[in-house]
Amino acid sequence: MTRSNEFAVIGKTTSKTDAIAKVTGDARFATDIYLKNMLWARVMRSTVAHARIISINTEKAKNLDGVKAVLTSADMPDGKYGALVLDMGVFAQDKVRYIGEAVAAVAAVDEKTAARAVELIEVEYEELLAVFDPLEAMQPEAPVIHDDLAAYTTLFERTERAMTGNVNYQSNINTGDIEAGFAAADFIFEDTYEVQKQHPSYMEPNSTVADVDETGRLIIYNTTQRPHINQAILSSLLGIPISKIRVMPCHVGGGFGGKNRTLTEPTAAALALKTRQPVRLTFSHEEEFTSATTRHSGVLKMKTGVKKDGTLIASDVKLYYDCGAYAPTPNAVWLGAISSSGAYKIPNSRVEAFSIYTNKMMGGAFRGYGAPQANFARESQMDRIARELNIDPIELRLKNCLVAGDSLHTGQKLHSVRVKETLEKARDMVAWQSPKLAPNRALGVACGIFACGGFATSSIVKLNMDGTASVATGAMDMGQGLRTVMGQITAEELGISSDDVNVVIGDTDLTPFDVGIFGDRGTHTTGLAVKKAAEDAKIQLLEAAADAMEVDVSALEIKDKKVFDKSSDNRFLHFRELLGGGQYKKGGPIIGKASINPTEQPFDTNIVQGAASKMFSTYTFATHIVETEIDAKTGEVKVIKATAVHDCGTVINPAGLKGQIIGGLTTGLGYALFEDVIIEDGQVKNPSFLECRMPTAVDIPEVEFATVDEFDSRGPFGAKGVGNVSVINMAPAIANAVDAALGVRIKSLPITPGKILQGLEERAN
Amino acid sequence: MKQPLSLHINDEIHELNLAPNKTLLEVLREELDLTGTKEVCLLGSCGACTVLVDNRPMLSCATLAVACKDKKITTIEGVKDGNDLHPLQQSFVEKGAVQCGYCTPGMILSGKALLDENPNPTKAEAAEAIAGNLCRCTGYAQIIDAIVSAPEIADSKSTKTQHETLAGTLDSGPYLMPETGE
Amino acid sequence: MQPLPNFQYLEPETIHEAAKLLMDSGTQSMVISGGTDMLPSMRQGIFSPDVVISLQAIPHLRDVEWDDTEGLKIGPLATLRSLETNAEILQHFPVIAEAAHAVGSPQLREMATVGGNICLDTRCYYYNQSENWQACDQECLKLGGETCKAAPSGRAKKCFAVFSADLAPVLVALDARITLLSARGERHVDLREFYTGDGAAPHVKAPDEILTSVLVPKQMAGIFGVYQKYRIRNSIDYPIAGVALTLRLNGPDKSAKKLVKDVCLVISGVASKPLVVKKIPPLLNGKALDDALIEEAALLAKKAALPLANTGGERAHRKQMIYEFTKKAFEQAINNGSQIS
Repeated sequence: MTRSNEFAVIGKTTSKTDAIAKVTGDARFATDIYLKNMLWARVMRSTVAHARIISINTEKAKNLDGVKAVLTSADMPDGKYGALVLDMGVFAQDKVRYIGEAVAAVAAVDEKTAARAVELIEVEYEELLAVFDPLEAMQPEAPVIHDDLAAYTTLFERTERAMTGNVNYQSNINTGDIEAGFAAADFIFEDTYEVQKQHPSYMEPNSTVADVDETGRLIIYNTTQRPHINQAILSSLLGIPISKIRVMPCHVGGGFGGKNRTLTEPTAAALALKTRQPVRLTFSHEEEFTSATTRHSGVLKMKTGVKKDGTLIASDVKLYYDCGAYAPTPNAVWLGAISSSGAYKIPNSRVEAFSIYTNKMMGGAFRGYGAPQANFARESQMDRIARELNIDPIELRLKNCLVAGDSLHTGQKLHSVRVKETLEKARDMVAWQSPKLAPNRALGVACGIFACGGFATSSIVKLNMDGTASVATGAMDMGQGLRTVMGQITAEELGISSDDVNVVIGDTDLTPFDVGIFGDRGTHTTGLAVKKAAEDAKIQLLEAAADAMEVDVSALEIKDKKVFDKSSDNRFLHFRELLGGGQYKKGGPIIGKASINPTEQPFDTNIVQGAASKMFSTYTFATHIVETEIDAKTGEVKVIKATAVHDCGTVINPAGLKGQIIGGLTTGLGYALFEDVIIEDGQVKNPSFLECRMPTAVDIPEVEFATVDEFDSRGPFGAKGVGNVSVINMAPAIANAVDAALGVRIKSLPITPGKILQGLEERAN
Repeated sequence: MKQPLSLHINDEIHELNLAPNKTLLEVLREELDLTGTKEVCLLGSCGACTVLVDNRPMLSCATLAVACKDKKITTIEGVKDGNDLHPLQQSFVEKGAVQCGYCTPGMILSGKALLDENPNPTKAEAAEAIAGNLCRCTGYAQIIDAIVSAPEIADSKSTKTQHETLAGTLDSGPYLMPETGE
Repeated sequence: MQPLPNFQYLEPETIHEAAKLLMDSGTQSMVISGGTDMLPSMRQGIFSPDVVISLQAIPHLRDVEWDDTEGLKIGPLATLRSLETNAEILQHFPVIAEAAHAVGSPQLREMATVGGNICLDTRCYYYNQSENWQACDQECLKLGGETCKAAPSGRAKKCFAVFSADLAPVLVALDARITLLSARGERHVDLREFYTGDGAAPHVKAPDEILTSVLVPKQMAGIFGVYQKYRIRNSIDYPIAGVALTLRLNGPDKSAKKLVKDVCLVISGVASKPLVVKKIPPLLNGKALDDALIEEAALLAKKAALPLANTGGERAHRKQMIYEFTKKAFEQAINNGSQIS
């Protein structure tokens, strides 16, 4: 087993390669692109939650001075898009399904004119009954939001309720014998949890500048987590070949899943193609809160059977995730289903997970990707079980937690699991005795699991004449540090320094396919492709050296940008000697390539139905303990300290890891305590950073973090992901601390002072 | 109606002709191509557009450009000392305080305003100073570290020029140039 | 960028010139001070003045000075940040510095002014929104519509937008007086009479009047003052429940029980004005504070609060915060009793 101290580059903090450009203000984001003759686009959006479109009149808008184009669905090819359910057009087709849905778009000489033109577009609606609650939407008499749902194209195995009524996706997990499991249980716990919408709140708005070059190619400058998917979607929606589209993402000002979407690109592209001028479409701050995507809100029902000694024996979970009016990523629901067992061994388990349409803004991907909801339910209930059975909460978790060799409830056998060690280490770090520290002070614990590694990616590594290298991948850096980590992996594999590696990401003309950066794929999956591509290049280089030095490849080794003959310290060739001259004695150029599409252990279809992915390579784990002070008079919760222990495999970049852990748990803190997109009759009441609050620098606890020693044989240099699991424990840990301190169990997020006071009042009565 | 206006930005005088409804943010980004200052909420609630006006941190989205005529404005582009990174910029790079980078310019200006007035701030003072700047990536800890560590970097005079840092540390020997056919 | 509407910008050099310009340009003109509330509202289409008059070129409007005969004089353009650090304020009325520090964020305090804080517009979920947002429903009363959507009884003819400033309630509790100047003349108004309680027209300043000065009377110097603010997060947030308390505790000698004098309790963020709880002075003045009296006062404050679901937080909890803050404020007063004359 290799450990990080055996690496030259891995495990050392390398300053982010893009940090200099970002601290000087030189880094260009999509919002910083101003092209000559650029037009400004604005989108006309639905003002009603559910209606049939009777007519759209764009004449007045078209006749306004300075307006260059107006588009509606009538001007677009008749395509729909989506990740698993192809349900959404670029503009509303026949019906509008939420307030904020795109109905038409305008390109004009300046933003003011575009805004004025949007006001001149007249739409006549026939309003329909709307439904805003996911459980109501599942009732047979509920208004149907997508009339020909069954006819939509889907890319998953349809289970019984999928694509019926308002359910667009359903996945099931059935392992063991659920009836027998509950029959064998000494205690049964049954709870219902509710979770709110949380906005990703990346700082940079969605933005695209679309241009048509002199050859007629479409050039897209955007902010995205998935350039190659953008390219494919543009191709299919606009009916133009991929070769005629170049997506050139700029620096991404935060994504967190929210930019694993294609929101501004098709509109800007269609307007640019129509006008043959560059077109900029940037979401207004308000559009971010009405017409982008949020974490799914929903209702979670959890029934768990437990033996007297605390052994979990049966679990029955129903997840009702509200995806809003369209379902851009039911994957979140699937990931919710997987993580709903928690990091525990449960022999008899049933999960039914639904993605349900309502007339609201869309639920999409957001850091944690379906797991924060499910883990809030699982980890809240674990503490309830611990309390009822009078077992220490950490002991109960240790008793049930997964270890390497165990199977997850999906049937997948796990090879890399250190959740037990995270629990033990966190317990030691806080010197855990019991949760309650003082009348108003308590600790709360939660652990969790997140699926890591899946979906296709690829990479190319090219060696230069001077022995430096370029690595290219279609994956993106949204700030998490992928660029830096890919450079480190390439450098480590080639035996050169990080400074010698040029990392090229995103640009679809220069990079090979990657499906997008989400769900802990970057370091693990893209990293693996990069490592293999570098290995391929290295083999080619060694072969060239073997030829030149007239020895067998097996006699050679690489150190300090030189190829040595192992038998003699004095006999070596510099990389530059092998690569110089721009010509290659043996083949060439030296370009390593690799692709990854993990399929090694597909889900067992006897256990799992409707899976949104073939498999996941591995899983990441973490334990968080929060120390909280709760004012029983005011209901205010203050998190004083958070302790985080992660099983993320080998650490590639310690400073980057720290940022991922603290950043993630701060997002988890906001989710736990106050972030909420409030929707009333389909309309978002708080569409801004002022009213939809994320934590500020004076809202954060002290954080102490650690990792446990783990080497995942399936990851690059033993690494796994970390970005998602860092989010998922804060809400249950805080709820558990509140319960420990006050005896009040909050089952709906956010955990507000009002709910705590109400709980105290109910307890008193 | 446009009116002539001279603005003193990053030690340069810019002679402009502007309508009075232009905010300082619009002028920086759209007239002067100083796009380091970021536009996010336009409601005064995120701090991404922070610049220094007479050395104090202010929101350029809620400042009319015409109201700045006798004031000294510093944007992120004016923080470097020639080609040398400001110690605070260097500290942001070293402490891992930069993730997506969209809040970074505003953070650095808020941090600089603090350091100019209080050269050795505590972590609590640093947190207070950036309490008007939102960041979703970092959870703020490394940004606070970077601010309190900046004085050490300034003392050690170890700041790098932007050019040096970008060039990396290559020490390659000569390699065979390709034949050019000339 | 969503541009601001067009307007003419004027920078008069004397206050009388400003007043004349304001009068001449009629109702379509507005005075700008810090701009932190006004410009975002203009961007949302809430205000669209033809003329914007800045007072920044007028000398001395930022001054804060102590006058031995009158008291503390604060210029309307004094920034909140300048109040936080002003030596005279820290000496005579530290509660003003406390309240100023509680506002918004560092950048907002650098920009926002005393005048702006006093004349702050009321806020509401149904009011502080863009024109696009408003297009989804009938306009709210404050924007010229028929009814108030935030009204406790469904829709009503009265506007329930919330007054949510931090400094104003403290200045009311300190019995501050303001000077309003127009081309028609000058008048002095007690700050507590300045606010109407009508969310749609929250104060009595006529459109052609300019707030030119704030005076905190000399006799208030040394009075105990405290301001408690509840907000959802610790920065970039306005109060959704606030309590300002001023009082004196007097006793014949050190050993005797101290008696309440000049008590004033003002609540903020829970009504359309900084609300003076009028029943508190008759309850407490001349009496020695004890737990029962404090409880009674806290219940009075709680009863006076009318938080609605038109701003952040939860209604019942905000009411409870008024109660808890009131108790805490009196407890602080007692704890500080030894220093109070």
